[in-house]
Amino acid sequence: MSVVLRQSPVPDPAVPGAGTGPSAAPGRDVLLEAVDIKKYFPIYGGVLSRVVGHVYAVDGVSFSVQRGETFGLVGESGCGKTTLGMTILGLTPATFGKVYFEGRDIFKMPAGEMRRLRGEMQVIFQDPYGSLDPRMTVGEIVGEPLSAHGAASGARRVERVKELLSVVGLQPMHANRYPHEFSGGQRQRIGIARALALNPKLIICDEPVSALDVSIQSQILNLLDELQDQFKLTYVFIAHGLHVIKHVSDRIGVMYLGKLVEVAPSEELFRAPLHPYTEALLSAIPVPDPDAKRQGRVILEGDVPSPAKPPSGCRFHTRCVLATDRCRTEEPVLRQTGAERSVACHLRG
Amino acid sequence: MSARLTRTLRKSRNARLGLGIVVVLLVIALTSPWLATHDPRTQVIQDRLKAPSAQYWLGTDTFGRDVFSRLVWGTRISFLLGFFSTGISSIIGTAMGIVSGYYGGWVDTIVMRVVDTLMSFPTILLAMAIVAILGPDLQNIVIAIALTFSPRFARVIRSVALSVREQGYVLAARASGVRHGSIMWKHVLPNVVSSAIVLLTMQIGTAITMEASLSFLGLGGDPAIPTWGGVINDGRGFLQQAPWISGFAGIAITVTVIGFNLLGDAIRDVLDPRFSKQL
Repeated sequence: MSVVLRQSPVPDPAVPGAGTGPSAAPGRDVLLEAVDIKKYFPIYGGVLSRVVGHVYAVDGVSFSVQRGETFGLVGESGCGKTTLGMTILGLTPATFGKVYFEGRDIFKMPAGEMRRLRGEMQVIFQDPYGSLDPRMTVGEIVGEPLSAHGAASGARRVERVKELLSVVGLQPMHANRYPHEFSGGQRQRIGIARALALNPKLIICDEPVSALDVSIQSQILNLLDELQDQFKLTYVFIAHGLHVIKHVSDRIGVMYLGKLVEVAPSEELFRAPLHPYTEALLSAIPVPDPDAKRQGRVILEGDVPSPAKPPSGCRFHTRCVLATDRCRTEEPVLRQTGAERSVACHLRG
Repeated sequence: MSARLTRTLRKSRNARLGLGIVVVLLVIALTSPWLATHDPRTQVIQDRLKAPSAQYWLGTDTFGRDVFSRLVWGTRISFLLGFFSTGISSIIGTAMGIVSGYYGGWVDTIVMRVVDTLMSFPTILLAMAIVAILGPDLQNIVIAIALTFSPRFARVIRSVALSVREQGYVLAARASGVRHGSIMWKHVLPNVVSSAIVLLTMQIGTAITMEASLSFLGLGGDPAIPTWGGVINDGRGFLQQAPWISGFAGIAITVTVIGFNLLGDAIRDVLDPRFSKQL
């Protein structure tokens, strides 16, 4: 029996339809699909260092990203956005859930295949200082993915590194310098060049501009936009404020305490937010005109509850002005309200 | 880095002293055949236990051998021994520390429990046991010291590797699909090597003391080979009649240990400025 099995042709997972994810509906070209991702970090305590609880960093998040679009993920610090990003990339193992990349379940992939796939899904980090090895030259940093995948070596690697540096707006001669010789914005360009090295299909941008000056932020955002057109990239763009994400995203997912509370196309979300938390985030966007009268601002009271002890029912009820008894006991599910919209709230939608 | 080196040397008298002592001893070790006034093994029975004089600068021992020449040759042996044993232990210990700190989890648990076991023995007892098993000669002393010292390197390097592992560039390398071995070699090792060098310099002095202790206890192998610990041992029975034998050998060891410790402090200030402010 086993002999027969071994000789029979193994279905190639790269062929469309062979191992596609659950929601691969016709007409939608889904590149990435996350299904019910959960990531719990154990808390150790007591004399015997036993697990006394968990931090529910990401607690059941599902979304899909279409080829060529930018999916924005927004939420306060500590809501699990970065953890979600790292989990999708397989850099921290998920507690539960599945991630399909081009229809292939990446958590079930053998290590070698996963390593090869890393070239197709890349990441740009928040911290342009910590993410570049201070003891490597820029050329070595940008060229590292190339050597790791055997994509180019020797003179071809040098050429490719120079090309990548020009693409992100740096000089080819910068390859011989060290990261500390560059400004924050330039360092972020180096990080982008590294992410582009292997011609990825998907780039997870983990707050790529939040460590930069405002004047530099727009330069980097414009660069990311140009690169998306030039290389047909798909972005998952993580940010903690809506003002950054507004112009770059096609669709936006709003996260609160490890859960998605609202998903909507960018324009619709800004025109008519459904979830009370989204409203609060929108009214927190700074207005550059000091004389502007702002009406109907939603100012949140209190702090985000601890993700180790999430509130019962709707996780937002402790800070929501509209909260009812039902919100305190029954947890709302993310349900579809329009063609592209969904919201997790008992009262809206 | 060279700017910090010159600044450290200019500002710190201890740094200059340490460097001076080690350089002088290194010159002595390299030129011992020309520096020694006598053959260190030749016994002149009629000149037994002679006090320091123009002929025998630091006196003679109970076999009539010239103490000065034995100490000069002993410098060479002590240095070779110190460098080799700490060099080997730093390589073993750094490798253990990097693997343990980088992988964490059960790998870390296993490596660190081995380290704990080795460190729970008194160092000299463990070294004596190893020499006793392998047999007393210089090569086995090097092995014994290397084995007893490598847990110290593993401990220190593991803690540095733990912090390097959390750096963004390690995550970035993993996200690029770089293999673990390659990450440890290209990212972790270069970022822990300065700590290893600092510890190495500090441990050379300790290794030389350890060799002297083993030789003093009679585990040094061939007594004709001049080692500092051996010379102290030779003078042990004549501390009242001929204090120069053990005395000068003891001074040689003390000066060497002080020199390496001061140099280690200076190197730490140059390579690892984080630590200098805390201590």
